[in-house]
Amino acid sequence: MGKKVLVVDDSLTVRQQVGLALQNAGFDVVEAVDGVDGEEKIASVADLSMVICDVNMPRKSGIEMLEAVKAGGQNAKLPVLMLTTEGQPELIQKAKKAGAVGWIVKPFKADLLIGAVKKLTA
Amino acid sequence: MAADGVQNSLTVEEFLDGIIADFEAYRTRVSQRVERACATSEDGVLVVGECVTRIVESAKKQVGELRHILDYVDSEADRPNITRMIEDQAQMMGDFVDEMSSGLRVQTQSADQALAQTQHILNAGAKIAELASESRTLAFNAQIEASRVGAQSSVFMVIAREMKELSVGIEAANESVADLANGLAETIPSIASSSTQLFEHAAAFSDDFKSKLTQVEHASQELNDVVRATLNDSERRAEEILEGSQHALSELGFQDPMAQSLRKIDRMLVEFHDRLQTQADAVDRAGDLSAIEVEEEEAEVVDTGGQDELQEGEFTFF
Repeated sequence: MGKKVLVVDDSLTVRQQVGLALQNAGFDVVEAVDGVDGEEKIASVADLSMVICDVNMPRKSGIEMLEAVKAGGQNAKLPVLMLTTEGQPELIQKAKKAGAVGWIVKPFKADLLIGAVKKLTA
Repeated sequence: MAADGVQNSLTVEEFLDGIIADFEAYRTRVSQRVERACATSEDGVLVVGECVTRIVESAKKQVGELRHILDYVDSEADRPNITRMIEDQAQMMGDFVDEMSSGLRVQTQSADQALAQTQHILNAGAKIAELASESRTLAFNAQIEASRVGAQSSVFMVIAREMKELSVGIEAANESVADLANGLAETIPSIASSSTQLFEHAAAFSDDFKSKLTQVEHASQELNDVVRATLNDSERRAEEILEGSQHALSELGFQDPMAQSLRKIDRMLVEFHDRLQTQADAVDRAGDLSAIEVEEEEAEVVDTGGQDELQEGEFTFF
């Protein structure tokens, strides 16, 4: 059994690609379709090592989900890496203040993402 | 144009309403096309992704199976392999031939001893024949003497006759023994010769067998080496497939940014439509174009932390 990573993105193709890249690198993958689903999975799935999260999602955005998780206490130390099409500095600063550990702009390079995940889950 | 040729002019409101209606019609068509493009590209990417996933899984499975075979070929475990089996067979064959040659040697020695004893029998037989001849001569002389001395020699005659019969019987028995001994003397050397020939054939066969086994062992080792090289090559190719597939999957990452960009364009068109509608409503209420507001965009002060906007594929860690 590898380390468990939660992938939160409303795009099925992104969840497929990120999931496959992680599985090929030996990680176990859990998926969520938006910020609400992501928050529920973080609370209910045991032994999560980190979260990879999109920003623009229906129902609840990635930054809103991040703020809720960090405020919740129980999973406040869970590393959250933002993976999004956005690159605006103000959004990046907002995520940093909310407690994100990094920001990658799509489309992503699989080896870069895997390298980051390995480092953050070490 | 009116029926009398006088051109009717539109009011400002009608003009604006017309523009907004046309814009909305075009925007709706754009929106539909955007959704179709997003759905089609998503479906295509998902299908390609599934195919690549299957290729990756197949390549990983093949790599695993090849590695398992390689491990087995290289294994030093107790499991028998062809080379060890050949060596064991060669050893068993050698031991068997040694045992057989030892047995044949003993057999040859026994044959020599039997031959020697047969010769003794023949010598003894010759002696017995000599004795029998002398007995017969004695019996003959006894008969002559007995006939010379007359009636007082009847017992002597009987004894002489008995001696003669005895010597004849001994000669006959001796001849039988001599025949048997002569037969053995002829047979035993041929048995010894056959045993020697058998030993020589077995030894020659053993040497030939060992030589052939050595050739098989070398061929087996060469086959092992070829299999190992082939497996290593196949494993490398499978890993290349794996790497290429992962790269292909990464390239499919264009779909989500493209879809988001298209939807953003659609949202911007909606916003523009709403602004137009707002302005048109204001003109409706005012009755002229003086109600149209030109909003000056204020420069928004945002906290960028001194960071530039990140482009596609770029990243930052905090």
